Amino acid sequence: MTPILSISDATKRYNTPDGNVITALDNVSLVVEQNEFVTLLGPSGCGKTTLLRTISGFEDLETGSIQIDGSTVTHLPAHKRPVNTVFQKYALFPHMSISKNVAYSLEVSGVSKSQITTRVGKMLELVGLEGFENRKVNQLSGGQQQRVALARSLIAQPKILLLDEPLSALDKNLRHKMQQELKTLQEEIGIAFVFVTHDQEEALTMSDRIVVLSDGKIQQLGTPEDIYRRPENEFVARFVGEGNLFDGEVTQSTTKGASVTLTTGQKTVVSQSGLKKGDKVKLLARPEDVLIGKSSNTKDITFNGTVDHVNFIGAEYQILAKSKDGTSIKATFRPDVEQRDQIAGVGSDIRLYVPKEALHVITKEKVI
Amino acid sequence: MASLETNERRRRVILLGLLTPPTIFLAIFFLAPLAIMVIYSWLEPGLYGGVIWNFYDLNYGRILGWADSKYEKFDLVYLIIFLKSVRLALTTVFISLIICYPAAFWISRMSEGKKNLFLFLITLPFFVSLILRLFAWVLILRPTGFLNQALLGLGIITEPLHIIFTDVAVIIGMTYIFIPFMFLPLYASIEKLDLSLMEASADLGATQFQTFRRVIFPLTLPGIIGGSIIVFIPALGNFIVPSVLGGAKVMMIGNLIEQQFLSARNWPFGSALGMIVMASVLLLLIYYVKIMAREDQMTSAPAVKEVS
Ligand SMILES: Nc1ncnc2c1ncn2[C@@H]1O[C@H](COP(=O)(O)OP(=O)(O)OP(=O)(O)O)[C@@H](O)[C@H]1O
Ligand SMILES: [Mg+2]
Repeated sequence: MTPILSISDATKRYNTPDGNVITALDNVSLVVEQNEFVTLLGPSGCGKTTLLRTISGFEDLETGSIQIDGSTVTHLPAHKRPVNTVFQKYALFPHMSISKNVAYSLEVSGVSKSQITTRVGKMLELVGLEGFENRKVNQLSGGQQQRVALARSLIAQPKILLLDEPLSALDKNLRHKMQQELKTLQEEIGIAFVFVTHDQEEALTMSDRIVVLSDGKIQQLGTPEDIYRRPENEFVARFVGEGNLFDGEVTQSTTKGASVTLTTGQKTVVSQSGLKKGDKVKLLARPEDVLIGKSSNTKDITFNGTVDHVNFIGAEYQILAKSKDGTSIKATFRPDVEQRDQIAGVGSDIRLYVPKEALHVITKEKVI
Repeated sequence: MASLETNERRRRVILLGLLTPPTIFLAIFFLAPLAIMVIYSWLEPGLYGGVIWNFYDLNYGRILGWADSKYEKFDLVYLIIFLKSVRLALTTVFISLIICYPAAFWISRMSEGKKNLFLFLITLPFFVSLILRLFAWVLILRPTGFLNQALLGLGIITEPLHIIFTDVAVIIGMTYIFIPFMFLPLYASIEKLDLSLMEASADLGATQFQTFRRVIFPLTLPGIIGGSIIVFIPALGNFIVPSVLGGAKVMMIGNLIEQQFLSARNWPFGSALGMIVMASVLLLLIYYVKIMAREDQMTSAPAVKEVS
């Protein structure tokens, strides 16, 4: 099957008023398959919106090309592209009723009145807004406006729906609800979504694949598990989720894995192949992989120190511990009923370890 | 409950105290002259100026057609002058709208500093006397003036154009002096326009023309109507521009009224003419308010019912 979207070597530069040049997109290549939910994730200013706007046709590329469903659209104006956008602030037309807003794309393309009425009715039903037809935009709550924006861009049956941080204006509970609804909706109507967010949790829960961007470059492209468990570089490891990074050096390497000596002097083994003796590496351990107690395997990373900080966040406890030589480690626990009273208090001694299987080797800092 | 009521009463007393002075001021300086006009228009003109205190409806009869020719003669020329004034005022509205609409767009896209500079430039003419500015236009438009010299020099025309003392000169002059009044309300509504709405429209498949017709135009319509009314009313009653740039050849209703008051010394007839201009403007405004109210009803919800 032809991919629904294929971007190759896209580069986009902006001239700032004070004479600088900003490279907002730097050689970005990306393929989105039919029915895929792809999320663009990255810190503020990394080029997410720019990438989305080049797909929708509001920005011209300097170099590179874009294909939608097999046909090249690189120089097609926005109104001729078979994609629709849900804007961050919704951009609903304030002078039109809800049904007029939703009907807009059908009306400008000359669909018959009776068809419009039935399709608008169906669409409003799909997003759960029956009975709101005659209201005006300012008579709706944020979440309802969000749904109108969705309905308005879905009614023309675009090949791709582009969403620029559509949930960022909603409060936390509503955001979680809308995340679920969006995901369900996407599976129901079966078109590709390209979704922008700078919220990593949102990206992890919703996406089939995640594109991590920084400074206009793709840092990693993979499934949520790839991104979280197997980050390709330090930037991704630090940007997505919390983590502990241990510095070390490869002392021996085989096809089955490698031995690594940490700067603390501890020796451990990892299963990654392709490492070379003398390589400087970082070992990533997520906080939930840090366990309390004494390890039975000498190759596990062990940590003795005192509790510096305890955060209770409902289901779990976050602990920050410091050792005598000043290194610190983050760990999270979900204690069961009997253990609850035994959580170490601040200042008490604690013994932690990371099973060697949980370690992930990182060799690069960042794609530059 | 009791305290609530006294509170309410106190609020009313304060409100009354605050509103009384401006009300009296308006009554004396705004309504009284108007009342004098209304009364005079129904009085008989004296032979050598002044009025005779008799009820007399022939001031209106002269204009609208029920005067017998015993004392006063009905003459169609007054209505013709009135209609011509309407035509000139409408043309002025139209031309200044055509000029200001794109200009307001253009200026609203500028950087903050430039915007303020241009807004200042647009109000700059107000610092110079109106009469002076109009005489400058005489210098520009007369047969030996700047415009004709330039066109002759460039070989575009061989004979000087006779613009001065024609309707065209009056329209040019009125457009020139009323442009700021059209520009400011237009600018206010265009400046507020959200650029992302235009992107949303294009995103949904609308061509630029469709975006203009369905999004930009309706959202800037209040500015268009506001500017048009603010220009139309003073243009309709204007007498300075036609007397400077129209000379003896172009007469608008304003000149006619001025003549009746100052040279013919027929205050009742002048008042009657004034009342007719005012009445037609009032009708226009009432119509506008009605339309706006209906539009509001059409676009807003049939009342979101609150559950109590
Ligand atoms: N019209 C423009 N002119 C100049 N620079 C621009 C323009 N639009 C964006 N930029 C710059 O390009 C870079 C990428 O911007 P972009 O809007 O794509 O970021 P983003 O990832 O969407 O950020 P955010 O999460 O804050 O929305 C930024 O450094 C920004 O300052
Ligand atoms: Mg953005």
